[in-house]
Amino acid sequence: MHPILSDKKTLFIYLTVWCGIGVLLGFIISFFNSLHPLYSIAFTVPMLLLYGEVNLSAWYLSRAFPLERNSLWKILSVAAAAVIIISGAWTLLGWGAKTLIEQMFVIVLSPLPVTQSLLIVFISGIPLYLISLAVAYLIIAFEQSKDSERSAYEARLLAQQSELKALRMQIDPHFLFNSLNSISALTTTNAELARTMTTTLADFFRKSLSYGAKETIALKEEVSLLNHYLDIEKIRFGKRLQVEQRFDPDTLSDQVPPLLLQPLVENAIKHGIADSVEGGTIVLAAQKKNSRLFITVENPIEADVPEKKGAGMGIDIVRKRLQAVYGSDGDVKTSVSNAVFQVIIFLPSSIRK
Amino acid sequence: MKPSSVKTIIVDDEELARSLLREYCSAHPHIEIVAECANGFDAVKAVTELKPDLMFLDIQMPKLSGFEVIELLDQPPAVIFVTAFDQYALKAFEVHAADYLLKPFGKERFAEALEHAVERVRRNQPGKSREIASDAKPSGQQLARILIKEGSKVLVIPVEKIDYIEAQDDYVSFHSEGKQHLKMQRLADLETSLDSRRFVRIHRSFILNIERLSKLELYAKDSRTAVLKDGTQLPVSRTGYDKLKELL
Repeated sequence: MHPILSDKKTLFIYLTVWCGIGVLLGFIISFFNSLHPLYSIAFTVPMLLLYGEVNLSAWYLSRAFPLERNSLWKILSVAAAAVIIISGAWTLLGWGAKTLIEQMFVIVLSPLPVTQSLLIVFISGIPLYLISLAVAYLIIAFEQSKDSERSAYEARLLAQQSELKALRMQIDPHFLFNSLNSISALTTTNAELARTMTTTLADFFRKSLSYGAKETIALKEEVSLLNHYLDIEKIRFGKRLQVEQRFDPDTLSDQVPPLLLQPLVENAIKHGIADSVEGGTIVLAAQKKNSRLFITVENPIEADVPEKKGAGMGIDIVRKRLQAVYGSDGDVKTSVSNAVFQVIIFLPSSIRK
Repeated sequence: MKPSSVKTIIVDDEELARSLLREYCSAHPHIEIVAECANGFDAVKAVTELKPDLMFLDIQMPKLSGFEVIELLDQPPAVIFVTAFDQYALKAFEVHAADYLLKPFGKERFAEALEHAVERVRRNQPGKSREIASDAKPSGQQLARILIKEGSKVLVIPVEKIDYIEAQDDYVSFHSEGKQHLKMQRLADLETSLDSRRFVRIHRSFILNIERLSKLELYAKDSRTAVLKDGTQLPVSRTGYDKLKELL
């Protein structure tokens, strides 16, 4: 679709510009021919409006002969031919109109001889058409760069989304293997608990799959997922794993990215419980302050265990995810005090209506 | 000939994992479970005191990993690793494990591993010899702590607490916080597994933690002495001096 014809507003502006050129030309003619400007303007404005319409063809020409697929010579010769034909046709039309007006109103629009005035019209038509053609090529180049920019942006967005998806599915497969081993052990000693663990495991994976497909979920949904996870780990670790939850009631409806806390709780168990003989208490908490949501995960740490590589990986992933969704409004902070490792997530509070 | 019983210990920090191994073992009457341990320290103590023939050993455990347990034992029994992680299989092979069971495993796979290990016990060639163990040390990985067995106890020394290390025949002596701890190891092996920006081999028989260095004294041509912050004096060889110069 033609970029000017497709929109009434741009067409109006386009014709106004041509009108302006027509008025200007009218004044120039009246000045040189000592004629009342109204006469010359009455002639030049319709002439240039007409030329403006004719000049719309420059766009079709530029589409038919795109710069990147034609040699410069070809484009120049096409442009030269077009200019001669179009400006020539316009000149003949103008000559006809001039004669008509002069006879109708019995005035002389131009005291110059016929050939000279025709030449003037013809020559002034040439740069005007060339400008139109140049503008048409510029519009095409501009749209192409905009297109490539958009496709680059879309590619980036797509990459980001797929990265997010990959980041989301971070549940440690060893969790599954260890859980299955526990179930295998329970089948002879406590069949009922084996069954409970099987269904809890299934619930956990089913929920993590359905939540993982969403952009955000309510905090209470994330907490219910964590509780399935913790229930399974409690069977595995027995008394070594204690959990304390302190979620302010007004935080539970807030929206959070799905499975955001799960890897943090997984880390907390790995470093706070699995590395410790006696185990300890994992604290989960959330509160709201100044329309910001603060979520805390705490685990005890062993003093003599050297820091393991990969401990910061989970935190990095959570930070990346928060920044992808909330920009600088979401982040993670970690701290260690009194043999307790604490992770605080903060993000803007938002409730789905 | 009736085969004698195979003394076995089970090492896993999860109670359920131990109970599964116990149950599987009960189907094999010649297996006699002499101990169950929930962490690496207990495992080292139990092996030292009870001298079992066979050990089921988890890898990721509190305090000491399964590999660290083996490193600490002079005469380790035949070992079957039991873990959910498959990435340690190669390392398990390097420390001459009898088998490597991946959780969860069935009775048949268990029986196969057990047969393999018991055969090794009967041939009286259970674990590795000391040399092989130290050769199998992961190269390129820097030690964060030194594990030393004194009697049936395990001592953990973070490397930053070591002042210097001295070679003594087949042993090395770690000097830390005014005490000495002996470990059967070669100084050259130790040198490669320590952080080279902190620990420098200043002499054929000495590795120094350069953070303990107070000053260097020249007492003869090409012969220097390192004076530590606590006043201890250590000899510095010419190549040792070159290495120190490069670092300081």
